[in-house]
Amino acid sequence: MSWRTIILSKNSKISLRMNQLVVTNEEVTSIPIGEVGIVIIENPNIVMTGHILNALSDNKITTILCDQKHNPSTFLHTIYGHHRQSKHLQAQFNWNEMYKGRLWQEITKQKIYNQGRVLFHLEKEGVDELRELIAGVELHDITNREGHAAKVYFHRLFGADFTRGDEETINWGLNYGYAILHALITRQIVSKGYLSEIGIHHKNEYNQFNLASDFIEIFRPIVDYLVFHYVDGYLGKVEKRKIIGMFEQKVFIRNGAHYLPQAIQIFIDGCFNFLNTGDEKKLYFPDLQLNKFILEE
Amino acid sequence: MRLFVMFDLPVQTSIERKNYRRFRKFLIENGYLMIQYSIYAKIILNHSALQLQKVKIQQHLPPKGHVETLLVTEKQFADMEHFSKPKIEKTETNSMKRVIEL
Repeated sequence: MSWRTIILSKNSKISLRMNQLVVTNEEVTSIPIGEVGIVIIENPNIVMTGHILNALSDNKITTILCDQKHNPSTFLHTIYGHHRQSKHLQAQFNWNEMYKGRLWQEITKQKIYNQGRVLFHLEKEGVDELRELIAGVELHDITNREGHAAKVYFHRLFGADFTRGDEETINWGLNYGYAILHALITRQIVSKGYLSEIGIHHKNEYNQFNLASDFIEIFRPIVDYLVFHYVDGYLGKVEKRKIIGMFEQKVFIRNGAHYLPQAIQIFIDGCFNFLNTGDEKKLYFPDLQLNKFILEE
Repeated sequence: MRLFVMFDLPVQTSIERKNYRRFRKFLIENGYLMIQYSIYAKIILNHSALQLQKVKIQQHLPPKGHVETLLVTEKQFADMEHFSKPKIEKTETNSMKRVIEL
């Protein structure tokens, strides 16, 4: 039942008392641990006790620490997340190559579809190009339609001179949003007793979070959309709050609208079910119906 | 929704007082907020959470005394009128806000 996101931005002390997260600054606030889903520690001047860190990781709360520049840099990651971890790890190492290929194909399709949703909603060109690319996605996406789609998509969204690698505000905004999503997804993977290091498509030996990098793809367009709306030449506190606002947005998945963290959970559960059984009926993909997004000015 | 838990527990002997303290601590640890002495309320998001809370209360019921629960909607809870009572200071944790900045 964890549904709250707590952002800590003032100098304060956090501790555990009577199963509650106690935040002490000018005033004392206590929040029941069971209600907390995400804690973002934005101020480096926060004092914390070992008890609260243990409680946060025991309760599978995504805890993200930010560096001096207020960018997410560290997150709390339990070593053992699930009581049947050994069994799940064995299964993960033996996932059928065919299922992995299928899942990656479907993830890529849905990602491109969601990118198309963003362009369509913002009345940009390129929706048809993306639609053609979806039709050409093969098993394992061996023809790399994903890469082509990303190129078309980013050019249409942010203009032809935009490059993902450049050091500028749009990229900072995207990286910020992606980093938080990454943490959320890794937490889900670990709490189900799987390893985030072993991906189905991403196999980068330098990436600790290959599996999270696989699952994140489908949700990236949400961040893109928020960044497009709110980040314009400056990435400050206000803009970051707007990006974090994605946790309050609902996403359409499994015949219903769910809050983003819930949707991520449903999606990842589905993926694991499919990888273990090969039953495609167990897969659920999020659909970004952006007209239902509530953007405050 | 809010689940109210109201209780009358005997506090004559030291065992009874211990049982009372244990029950009160159970409520606080589970995220119940004190509304008044012996009246506690917790935010409940859905019916499966409600079932879970009811089971938990059953398991932690003190041996003697009366415990009552009452479910009210968020709107009814918000419409609660306070007479001669100072305003609640800790509004953050008492609200349904999903993102809290502290």
